[in-house]
Amino acid sequence: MNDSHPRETDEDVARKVCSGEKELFGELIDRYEAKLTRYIRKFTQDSDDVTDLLQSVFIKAYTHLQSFDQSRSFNSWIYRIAHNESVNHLKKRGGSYVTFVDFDTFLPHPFAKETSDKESLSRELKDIMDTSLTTLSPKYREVLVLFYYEELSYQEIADILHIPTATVGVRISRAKDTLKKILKDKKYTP
Amino acid sequence: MTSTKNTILRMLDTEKLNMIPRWQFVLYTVLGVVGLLFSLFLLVFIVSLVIFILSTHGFIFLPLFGFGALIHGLVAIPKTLLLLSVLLIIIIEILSRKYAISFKKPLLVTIGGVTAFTLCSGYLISLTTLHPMVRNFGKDTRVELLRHAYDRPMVFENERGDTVLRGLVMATSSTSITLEMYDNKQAVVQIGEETVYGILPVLGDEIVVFGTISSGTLQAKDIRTPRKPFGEGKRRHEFARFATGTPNMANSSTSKQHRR
Repeated sequence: MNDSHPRETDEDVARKVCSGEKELFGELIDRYEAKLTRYIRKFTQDSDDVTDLLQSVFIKAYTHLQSFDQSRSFNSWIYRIAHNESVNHLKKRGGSYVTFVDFDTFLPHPFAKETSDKESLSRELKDIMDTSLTTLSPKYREVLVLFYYEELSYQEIADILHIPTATVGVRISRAKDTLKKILKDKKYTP
Repeated sequence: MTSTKNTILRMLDTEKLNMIPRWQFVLYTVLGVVGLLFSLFLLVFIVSLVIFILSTHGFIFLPLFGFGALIHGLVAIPKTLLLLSVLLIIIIEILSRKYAISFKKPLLVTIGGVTAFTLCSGYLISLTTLHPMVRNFGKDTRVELLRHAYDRPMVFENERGDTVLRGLVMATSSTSITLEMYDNKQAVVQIGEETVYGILPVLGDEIVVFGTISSGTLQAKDIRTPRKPFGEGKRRHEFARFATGTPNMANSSTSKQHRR
């Protein structure tokens, strides 16, 4: 059976929801629920917290949908909401996300080129990363998740986290170095 | 249907979940932009005020007289205005961080950009008649804040008695120059063989004098003009004659109104 109707973009669906077709918001939930659940799980392992956070993200997305700039990416916008909710959750639980002055974003960095190694990341390595990610601080964990699991570009990650693009590269590089040490300790050889 | 989707759609159906109207977001954006622009204009005004105050007192020329004098000049910057400027830069950074043009640049670059823009704009504004007008308004209406800001006494004097003055030449003689300063006070500056001239002062000229207070009198070490602070070296041979007692230049009851 051929699908003669190309799938509408997230931005088109959001526009229709804004114009009054609120039942179409269910379509956006279908598209993003799995991705956002996976993303939020990297911040908290508690399933109740994950469910609560996920609901908060969608509630906030709906109530603030009129603020979404339809010329921009809905994907980045909703991930930004998920990021903010997760950071607030961490702060409430007493965890710290970033220091008052984050030197990663304070100083300019040489432009870090995006690497293509996410394609070559084997399933086994992803499994090891899954268990090792919790040892990383949230700010490094997040960029790895967005880059390797959500497969977003440096530009998109910069838009979500509101940091310079070069800083995204620096954080990914540092996170990978830390993980390499962990893998070395676990005596993993690819 | 997952429980999350079920919950959200039920909230939508029972109208427990409503969109915030667009006009509210537009209002927040407008307020944010207005706040940002207001902070920026206020910052530029304050910086131009600091430059104007330092300039009218001659402090802005202190770097010409050496590194030590420069440090004294920096210390002379009004602390309240300096703190207010720093606070405004922080406010501007916070308000602008939601825009990609700001958050995609490192903080050092954005702070540096705002500072550079403010210094350049502030300098240009300090050259206009804005501050003399505001100052006169403060005097006429007796607004204490304005009078305090513009007419606060500022004296640079280190342990050697070095000081700097800026004023109009009202009278000259072979051994002294009488200056009228911005606050209409007069000062008599003694000149001698050790005095270095960047300009040969004539009646009505605006000059900056760097000197040393000794036994209650100000001995000029260096005389320059704000228009050409680095001096007119070719006229040095005339200056030697001036310093060794050539015929007095006539006092004039009229003075050029070069007041800033």
